Amino acid sequence: MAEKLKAVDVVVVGVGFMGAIMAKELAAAGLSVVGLERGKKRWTVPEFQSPDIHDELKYSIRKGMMQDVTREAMTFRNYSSQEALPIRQWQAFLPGTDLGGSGVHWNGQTFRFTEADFVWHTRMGERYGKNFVDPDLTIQDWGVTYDELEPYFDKFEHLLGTGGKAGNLNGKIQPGGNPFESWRSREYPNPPMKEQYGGVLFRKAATEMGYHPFVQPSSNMTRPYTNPEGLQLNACNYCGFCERYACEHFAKATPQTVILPVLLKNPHFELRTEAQVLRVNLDSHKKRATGVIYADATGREFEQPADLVIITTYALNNVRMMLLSGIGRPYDPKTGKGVIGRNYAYQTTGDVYVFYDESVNVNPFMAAGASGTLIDDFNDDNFDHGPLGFIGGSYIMSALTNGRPIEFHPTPPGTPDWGKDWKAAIRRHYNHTAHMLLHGSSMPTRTNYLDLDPTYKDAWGLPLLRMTFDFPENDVKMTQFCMDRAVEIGKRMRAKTVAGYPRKPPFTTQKYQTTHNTGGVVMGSDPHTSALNRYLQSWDAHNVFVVGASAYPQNPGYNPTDTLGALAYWSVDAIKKQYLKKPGPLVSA
Amino acid sequence: MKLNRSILIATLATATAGFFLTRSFAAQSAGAVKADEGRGAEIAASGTAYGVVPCARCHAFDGTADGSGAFPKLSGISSYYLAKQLRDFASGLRTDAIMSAIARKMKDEDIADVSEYYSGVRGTPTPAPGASPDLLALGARLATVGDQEKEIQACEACHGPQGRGESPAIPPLAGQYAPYIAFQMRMWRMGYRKNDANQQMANIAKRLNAQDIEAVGLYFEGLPQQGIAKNKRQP
Amino acid sequence: MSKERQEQESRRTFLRSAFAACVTAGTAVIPVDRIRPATQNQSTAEQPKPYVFFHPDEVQFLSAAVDRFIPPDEEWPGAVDAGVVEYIDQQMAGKWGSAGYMYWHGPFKEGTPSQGYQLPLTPAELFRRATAGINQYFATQGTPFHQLSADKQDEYLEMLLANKTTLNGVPSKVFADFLLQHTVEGFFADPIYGGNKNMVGWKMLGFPGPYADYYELIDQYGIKLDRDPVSIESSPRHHAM
Repeated sequence: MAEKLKAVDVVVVGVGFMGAIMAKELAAAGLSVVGLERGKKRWTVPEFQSPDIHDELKYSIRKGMMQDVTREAMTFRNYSSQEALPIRQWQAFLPGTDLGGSGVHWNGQTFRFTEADFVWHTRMGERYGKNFVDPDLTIQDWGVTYDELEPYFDKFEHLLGTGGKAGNLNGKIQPGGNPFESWRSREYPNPPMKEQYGGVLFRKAATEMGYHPFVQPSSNMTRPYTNPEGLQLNACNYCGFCERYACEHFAKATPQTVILPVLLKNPHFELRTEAQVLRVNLDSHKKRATGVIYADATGREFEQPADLVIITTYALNNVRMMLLSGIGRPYDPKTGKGVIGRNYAYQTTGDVYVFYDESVNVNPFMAAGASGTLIDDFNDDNFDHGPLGFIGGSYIMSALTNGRPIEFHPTPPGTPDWGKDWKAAIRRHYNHTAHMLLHGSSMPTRTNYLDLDPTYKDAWGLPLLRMTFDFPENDVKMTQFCMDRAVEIGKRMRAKTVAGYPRKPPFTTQKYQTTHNTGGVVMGSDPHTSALNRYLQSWDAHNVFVVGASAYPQNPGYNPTDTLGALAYWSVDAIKKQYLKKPGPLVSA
Repeated sequence: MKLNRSILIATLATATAGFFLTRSFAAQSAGAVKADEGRGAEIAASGTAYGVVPCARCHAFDGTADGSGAFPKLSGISSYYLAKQLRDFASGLRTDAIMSAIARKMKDEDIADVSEYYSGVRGTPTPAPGASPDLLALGARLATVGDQEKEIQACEACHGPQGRGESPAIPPLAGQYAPYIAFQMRMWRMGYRKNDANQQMANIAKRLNAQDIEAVGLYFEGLPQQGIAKNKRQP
Repeated sequence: MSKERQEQESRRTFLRSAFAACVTAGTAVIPVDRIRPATQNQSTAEQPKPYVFFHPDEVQFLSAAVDRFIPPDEEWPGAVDAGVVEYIDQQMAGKWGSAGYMYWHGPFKEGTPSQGYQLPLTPAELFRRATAGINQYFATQGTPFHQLSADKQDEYLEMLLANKTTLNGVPSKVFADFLLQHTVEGFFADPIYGGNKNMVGWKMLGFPGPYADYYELIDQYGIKLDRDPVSIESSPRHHAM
């Protein structure tokens, strides 16, 4: 029997980046807020300090910062005709955990989605005609526009201290930035990162070919910065231990460095860690949440009543939380009905290696998480897809985020995988190889979806989330096209050898790609095809807001975090200005 | 690296490419001159005919200086770092009443040579004067763990385990005179010294109080100076 | 005058008198010590550690196998000299070996390659079972694996990697992939884990290690970083998993 606690105004489930933002804004508005985090507290000092934090075996190979798969895994299959089996160790995607969540071990890559992305269904129809898009793709509009979100992008980027060069200031294209980006109202808070050597070589080739290279926007600080919350960050040292690791220098924008200290000082806010939320409770009409049930570290259960429930447990876990709580109708791929678990998408990536002779010291270990140089010319709807027969695209980025040797020791095609020649080859090529990443869009389909597994359970006896996913034909075509473009650039980089590795189906959970899982609790204008309205408010229970990339109807070719931060600020603004004054649905169904 | 199917391979001539690349992006070391440590020793001992004062007068011939703490030890600091300081003194990026005038008289090869010389010298260990256990403990904590409230990382994150430095750009602190360390920290804090690449030191120094500064100086002074900086990679 | 200027003034006064004292005293001649650069973690008569998990017949096979994966050559040690077998031994004896990092609930069923490892064998059980199968096989062959020629050893390992046989029921590719992965880990992980002795793996590649601050160097394009790496092991504060 769960012990019933004193009611609060707001309970925030999961205290990562978005949970911290939602909690901070609502506590600052005077509401009593409890943040429930399943993991532990951790801070830059002492938990993120060098040299221990730079342990490749512990953090890259054994996934030291990631969701504890021994307790809470998920199951996977490519197709409904297969039986889903547990992902017994994370590889393809790496959900985070503990205070700060994935915001601690992300790379800081900070791209906005474009105007076109938010009205993707309408835009594809307008530009290419009603019959162009593969009918198997379930692309949708978001219900919110880029223009509405722009001030919130700006707010999030200033919270983070993102460094970059504006490419489009209020409609005017700026030299040095990305000419394809949508308008922004002002410059980035910090200047761009230093370019890596590989980036300089890429830039030269790309420019010669008529493309538009630029340095990627980065939330690794490019200089000392004090953010609007009054928190100070140091400049990044380009240490090559960004993704999978925490930053010891207070130089990466993480909840710990940009918001948590302020949140924790607010007396209206209470943080409870090692609190595993099991479900959201609904009232007897199932139209309103009454609070949440959680278990502490010893297994004792508690009921935390609240007027407002904010779910920020990471995209995949958000979907699971809705399913376990019975909020919203689960999606059935056979009938196409239901919304929870619908429109799951991922990211379509690929790699190109560019092998130089020994006079070129690339120094891959000198790297920030986001110090790449890229072109956006073949991403999004930035080029004419008419003759090509697919939608979406990839950015093509020269970047090495690290030179960590267990995982990074590239060799040219034809090299054996082990033995004397392999050993000589890794020596020869380790410091003389550049790399390009293709980072591409992922379109939703009728048959890719998320639901609860019928067999496997977590440590609390609750069903694991089940993922059914493979790359749709559209994305396979897209990524091959972009790979061909990338290899052309590679050849122009004047190396000895260029080797491209395009992504091909079936999707495998065994190779790292990205932790950009999207969809499952999507936002939109139509309750038949979306779970949330444009304010990320559940259509089914008006006091439940679900803030995560689970809200994305499809995933463009850009990294998801910047847009999510904008949506979080947009959503909490609506809560403060509209919902609190008159609790109820903010959009009529 | 595992090979997938469908790989595209292109092989190109490298002659012109390699030439182009090495010409455009040749490694920049302390001047592009090859340093002569023998000549560096001579300048350290006797100065030059055109008025460069012998380094040894203040820094001693083995780089141990005079024990007062007013002059830093130079032994075992990378030639890259020493040369950068001299160039910065000469250009005004770093200022010092004595060093600025000396550095301005030095030619590029003088800078390269004395830096090469001192980087290869093993200095004489100097006993650290006694310090209170509390101060040493504070210094040790700031140096090896950092401080969350003050938002500073451990000194050793950049300055290496036990202050051995991170060659070539980040100097060792182990065995350096406490008064010199403290003085430099105050110069960073007040904005008089600003020749580090990413403004890290000023930021950190501003968040330390006088006691913190004294403590880290004493802590590092007590650590053994670690060998000489002319490491070449060896199996 | 301001505190800062006072400080500067008193330093200048001090320096002037110190300078004068130096000049008066004359330059002392101190012999310059040209000692060969010291190598970190020089191994002097290191006693081999006892194995905590592997049996001697397992060590025999594994040592020979990993030394084919990463053979010693004139310049650089191979896997065995780098401590790879000790590394794997420690891993098998610890949390990783007992599947402490994996979702370990059944039912265990055979899956597709996309679904990854699904055998109901912990890494330690996998090693033990497969190695026993290998040793059983070679017991019928006359010459044990570790006494075969290098070419014959390579042939056998290729066969395992091509999944041409089962080892006590374990598909040979699953075991061989595991062994290769652990060999690479053992060669390149921080020396605190027992492998990468004297950081030979890092020295061979030119990876400087966990102390990594390159703000000033990253845009000196092509600069050659010519120093020995420094490991977590060199910090007395470290704690392994």
